[in-house]
Amino acid sequence: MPTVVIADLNKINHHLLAEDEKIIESLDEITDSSYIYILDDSHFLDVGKIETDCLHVPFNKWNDTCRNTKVYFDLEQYSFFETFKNSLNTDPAVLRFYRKEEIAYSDKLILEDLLVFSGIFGKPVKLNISHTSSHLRPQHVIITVRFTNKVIAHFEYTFLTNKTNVDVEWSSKGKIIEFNSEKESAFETSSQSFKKNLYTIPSLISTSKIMEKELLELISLYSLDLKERISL
Amino acid sequence: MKIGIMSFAHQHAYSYANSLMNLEGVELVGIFEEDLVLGKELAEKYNTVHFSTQDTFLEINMDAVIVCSENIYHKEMVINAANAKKHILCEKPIATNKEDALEMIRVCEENEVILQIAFPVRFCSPIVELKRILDQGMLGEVVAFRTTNRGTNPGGWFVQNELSGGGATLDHTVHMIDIMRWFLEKEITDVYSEIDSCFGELESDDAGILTMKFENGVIASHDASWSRFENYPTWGDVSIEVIGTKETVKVSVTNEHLKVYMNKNKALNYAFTGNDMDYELVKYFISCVQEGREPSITGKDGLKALEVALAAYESNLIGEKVKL
Repeated sequence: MPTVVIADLNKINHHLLAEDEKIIESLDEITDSSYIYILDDSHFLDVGKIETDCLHVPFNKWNDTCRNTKVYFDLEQYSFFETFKNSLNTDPAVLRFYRKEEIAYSDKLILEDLLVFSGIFGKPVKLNISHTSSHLRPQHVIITVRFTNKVIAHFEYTFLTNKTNVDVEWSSKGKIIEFNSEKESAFETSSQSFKKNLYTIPSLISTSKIMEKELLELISLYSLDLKERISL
Repeated sequence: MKIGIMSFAHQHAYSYANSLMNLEGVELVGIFEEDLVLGKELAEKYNTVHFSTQDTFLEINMDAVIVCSENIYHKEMVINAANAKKHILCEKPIATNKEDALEMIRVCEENEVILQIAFPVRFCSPIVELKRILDQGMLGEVVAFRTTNRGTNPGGWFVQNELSGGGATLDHTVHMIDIMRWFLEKEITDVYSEIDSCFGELESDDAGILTMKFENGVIASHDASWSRFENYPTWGDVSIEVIGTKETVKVSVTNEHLKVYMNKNKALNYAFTGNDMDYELVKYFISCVQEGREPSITGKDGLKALEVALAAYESNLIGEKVKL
């Protein structure tokens, strides 16, 4: 059975595509089971027609009707993230995570970040949400979480801003890790025309997850908070 | 202008003393310090007179005092100085509880002396510039603030709650609350926080993250901690990001630096190149005393910042948002 990846093609690093990773425009092009086929996420509605057990979809497209699919998260596709995750220790810590996004408010984006960090720091013990008035642009959201693994965290999002950026700081006893996608980048440019933080297919496949019971429970837990407490 | 310093328990006293030495027409006429050995050393260092009791110190001819004691003694020293008709610059936080702060403000008003709280960040050049462009409307309407004030654990009495009144959350929250209030000219109405001891086995807290809401709907986050360690390139940070409807601007005070790399344990050191806030703070206080005018940072400002820090502790305790 072939491997099929559903992705926003603008986010794929085309320079690093291997010979067996092939971008296709329709399902008809799936012919060889040894290939990894990459299909633009505008074809997501066709997922049900794909005959494969190796289907990878982005979390923002996933819904609970997607069976036999693996899901990948945007944050885990950043090249820094694996190193960041491996650099953490189990000490009590403060996490500060901040995204700036050009898109309008997306509860799915927040949700997937919370899921990724819950995978590292455990379930939320306490959670508080604060956000700006719906008539203001940009929109800003602050989420405070105390995780089971002795980590307290701020997750902040500015939507409808003029650039995208991820900023993360982790402070523990004798160890501080900082990353800012704008500053820690090979590019220094006055424009946003260079594509940065692009997905690679091996990363995407290796971080994809089956939506098991524990993850589904976390989704329900966080979704409820986001739906009840945010009206943007 | 004759100035005295009451206690060198807070390390900022040294910076303020150096500032006094550099101001023309200003004389450091005495130091009150209960630690006799330290007091003698300081008197020699600053070529002044040491006093071991507040009574004898406050009898000398001087216009104003700078209070740099442990937080818990601010009230006693400020009230004694006010009753002795001395103008006062008091280290932050103004006090360790609201009642003490209110009494300090009242006694200073009754004695018609200045009570200025030491919020030197108001005199940091990039912060002043940010205030200017904000007031000119260049950022549009403020939507949110993101602030930090993180440093190294000062140890000593700072980590003893009976002397400090609180740990890093108290120590490193009040500066940025004051700046946000100054920028918006609005008060904070809601505070939510998570506070903990993450960086050492301390009696006091060393980390606090706060989420706040102002009366006009602006929201804010703040990260207060003693998370920085000896080998970190700088002592810590003071930063504010103002997210506006027209533009977003971030000011990181400690980003004004040279990067100095050395082939030793602390390989990278940030050599600060910004302006001396403490000097500007002291200079401003002296000018207020000389001209007999009320400072822009009053006891009320100290009280308002303290209220938010205390609300953060309460929020952490009850696990809910606290209304002010």
